Amino acid sequence: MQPGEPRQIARAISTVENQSDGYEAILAQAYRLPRWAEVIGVTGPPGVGKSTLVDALTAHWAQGGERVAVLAIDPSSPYSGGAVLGDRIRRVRSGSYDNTYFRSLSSRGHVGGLSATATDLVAVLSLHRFSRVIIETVGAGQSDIEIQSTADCTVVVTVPGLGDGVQASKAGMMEIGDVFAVNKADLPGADLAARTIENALSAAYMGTAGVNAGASPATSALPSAMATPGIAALQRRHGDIARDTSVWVPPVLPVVATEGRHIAELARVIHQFLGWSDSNGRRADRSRERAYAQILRALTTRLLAPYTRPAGTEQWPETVADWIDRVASGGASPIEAAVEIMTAQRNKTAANG
Amino acid sequence: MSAINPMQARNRKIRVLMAKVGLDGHDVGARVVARGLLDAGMEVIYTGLRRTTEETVRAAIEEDVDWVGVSILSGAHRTLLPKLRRLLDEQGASDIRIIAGGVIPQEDIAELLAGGVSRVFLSGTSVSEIVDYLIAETRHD
Repeated sequence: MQPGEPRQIARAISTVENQSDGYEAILAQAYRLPRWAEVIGVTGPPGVGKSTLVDALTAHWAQGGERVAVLAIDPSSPYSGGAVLGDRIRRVRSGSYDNTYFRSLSSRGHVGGLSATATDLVAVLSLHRFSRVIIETVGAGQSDIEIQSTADCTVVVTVPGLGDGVQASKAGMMEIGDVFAVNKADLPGADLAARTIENALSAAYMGTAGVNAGASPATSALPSAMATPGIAALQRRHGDIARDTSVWVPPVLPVVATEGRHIAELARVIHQFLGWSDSNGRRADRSRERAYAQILRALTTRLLAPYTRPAGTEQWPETVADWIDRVASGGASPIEAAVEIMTAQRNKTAANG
Repeated sequence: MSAINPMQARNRKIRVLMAKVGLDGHDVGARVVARGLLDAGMEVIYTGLRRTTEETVRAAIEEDVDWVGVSILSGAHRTLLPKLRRLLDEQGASDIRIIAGGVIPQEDIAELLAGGVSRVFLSGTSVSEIVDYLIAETRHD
């Protein structure tokens, strides 16, 4: 990196994260890039070694000369809005590479495992010529699945001994992984943990780990119509063996992040997935999903602005003030209030326009 | 922790890097302060034990913090703190300011302040005193 460059990048990120003066101009420029950095999402329950794995992957790619940025997200306190961000403690291997950048982010009240501006920040980092951005999610539960539409490849991390097959087949983590990593694979039970995930995956996938040829005469008779909504979602992301010429089955890899063991293998599988999803348009599908989510978010903010109470204030916005007591005291339903409030706002706009 | 953070109303948060620089291995004080700053609505980046001044400067710049809070119990404050200040200035980060705490003799304070440390909090300082100082002194640009 050029002298002064880390500071510029850091400032640009703050501007966008805080929505300070000039942030719209930065985003207008960043969102006009024809192609963004490849985004690798790393998610999984707390304590499985996500930060250490991110550090090892960062070092691996940085060693090859790539510009790699990390966005590491930790939860904010619901009471104070503050946060203690500790992912940087594990920046041990990657810290010696000048071609890396690491930023700790608070979720700032956003639910879903990321921060509200995470996608915007990927755009900003792309503008600063990073070819790869690794996003480490909040220690995710079973509903923090926002990463799957944000990342080009999502790595779900687990460790031996977390739970039995029932845990593995519970909704959530199993549905969002493009690649699974069993970290701390030097511990007893690593094989079992990997097999448990593979078993759970085999309920939804056919074929062997990695790229499979699909739509052969032998398999094309499979009734796709029987796919449950969950399996249908997986088929949209990874292909349907009955219809598509090529499908992806998420591989399960043992790694030991603290020692950097099998990290090259994990990186190779991630590349393989990115290559696969690039070649058949599925990465572009994800970009469209991401664009839709971002448009929806921008629309929501703008459409709700006349009704939204500024953070930290106690005053009801004028537009809804009349309805607060009526709904609170049983005089109207929230739906009736919303319909009336919208009608009033529309009339006001028409009168002004 | 009764202090009200005036910046909570906006998206701007006070960001503080809590650093353990040098060789001492005790971070209870740093953790207690980090917790207090969290409760006051600040974002605290904790880098862990035994970091070099170079690593700390890089972290401060990448994280775009307002403050670096250094906890030193090893007695090396007279070397480490001025070096930290100098390295930050060299990287164009003069606006990132340093506060220090830990085991620091009263008679060293003047020298540290002259060396570019904004404030030294001696052991026994309440966390709310640090919170109040940071809220009052953070520049709202």
